[in-house]
Amino acid sequence: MIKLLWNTEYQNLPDPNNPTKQDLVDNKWGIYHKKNSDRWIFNILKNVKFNIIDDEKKLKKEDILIIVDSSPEKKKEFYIKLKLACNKIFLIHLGDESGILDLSSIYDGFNFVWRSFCLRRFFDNKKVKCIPIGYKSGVHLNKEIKKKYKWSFIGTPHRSSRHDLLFQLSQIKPSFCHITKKFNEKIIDSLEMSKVLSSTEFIPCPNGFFHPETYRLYEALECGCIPIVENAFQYYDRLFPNNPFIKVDKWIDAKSIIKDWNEEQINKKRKECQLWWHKYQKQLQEDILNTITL
Amino acid sequence: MKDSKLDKIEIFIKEQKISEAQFELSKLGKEYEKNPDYLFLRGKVFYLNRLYYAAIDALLIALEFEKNNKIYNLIAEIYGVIGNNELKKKIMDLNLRSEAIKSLKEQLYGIYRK
Repeated sequence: MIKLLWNTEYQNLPDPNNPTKQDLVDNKWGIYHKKNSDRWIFNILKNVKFNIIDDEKKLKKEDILIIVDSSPEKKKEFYIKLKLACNKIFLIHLGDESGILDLSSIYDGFNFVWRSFCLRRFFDNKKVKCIPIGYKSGVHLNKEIKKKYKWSFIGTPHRSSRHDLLFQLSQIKPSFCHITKKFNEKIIDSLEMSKVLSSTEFIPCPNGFFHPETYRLYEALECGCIPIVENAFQYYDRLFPNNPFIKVDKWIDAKSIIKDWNEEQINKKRKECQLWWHKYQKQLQEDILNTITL
Repeated sequence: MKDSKLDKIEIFIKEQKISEAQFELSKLGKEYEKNPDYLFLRGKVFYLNRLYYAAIDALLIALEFEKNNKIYNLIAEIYGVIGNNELKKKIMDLNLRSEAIKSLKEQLYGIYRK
């Protein structure tokens, strides 16, 4: 039997009397990943028939175990114990945007690892496959809504790219902007976000704080928008060869596309993106099933 | 520059050996993170690799440690390339540059401030 242990929110709980800064951070992120990534992860595991367990005591020797975690480096001993208690063990590693830690000794303990936020060392890695960070739970396409915005941006202008994006595109109307000062602060809820994205033609997807990937790209795809990504480090071409995204080195290059593309060009690109996204997810679901059941 | 490793990188850049410069930069450790010459060279290499925003971010951090003409000028040049000529002009102007950079940094919540 295949079993899944979602372990992101079960971090080493900080000692209430003497919490370390890192424990508090990991705990916060663990809860964040459970809240925001469960729909995406269950989607990519769609073809796998599994039971969710919340206790390792429910594990049998012949079982295959899938772990979902955002701080596996803190639970090395626990995962060694689990590996001995079952037939095969797989890890879906969420988070780790900065990629600072060397996780090879942790990853070695698993039969196979899928991780978000790809890094150079994980492209073409036989033991580790990079997966998209996906969309936040609750964001979905509202099919009945018309595309009333040319572009929209929801997020924090933390560095020069986002600042320039807003400078370059601000004259193009109609648009929707919701600017926050801090990550995950005063954000709009997923229902409202779904409405806005479903009403938008182009979504500029600037790089994240540490890493090029953000949820924004996958939310755009999920809501039938055309994503415009930064071409820095050719990240998306390496992660998704032959992807149909519009790529720019500087946001001024996106200006004429958003402003001047006619309906036919927009519809063609939108369909191309939707088809690609659908095929990509299907292939990923199959690949995961094959790896687990091989 | 006062550092032979950084001198070597600067020579690579002058000779248009950008990959070599990039490789040498990647070998430098944390002790260089607050070195304005190092940050300037990082910015320059990013710029030459058309990573305009990474270049601006590195140069804005460099200005936290040293207010230097070559840093201001390179930021201005990059803003020209990315199509913000208004900001380019302000940063090129000796009387306006300091205020322009201050105002820019106030809008960028994720840029390191001393």
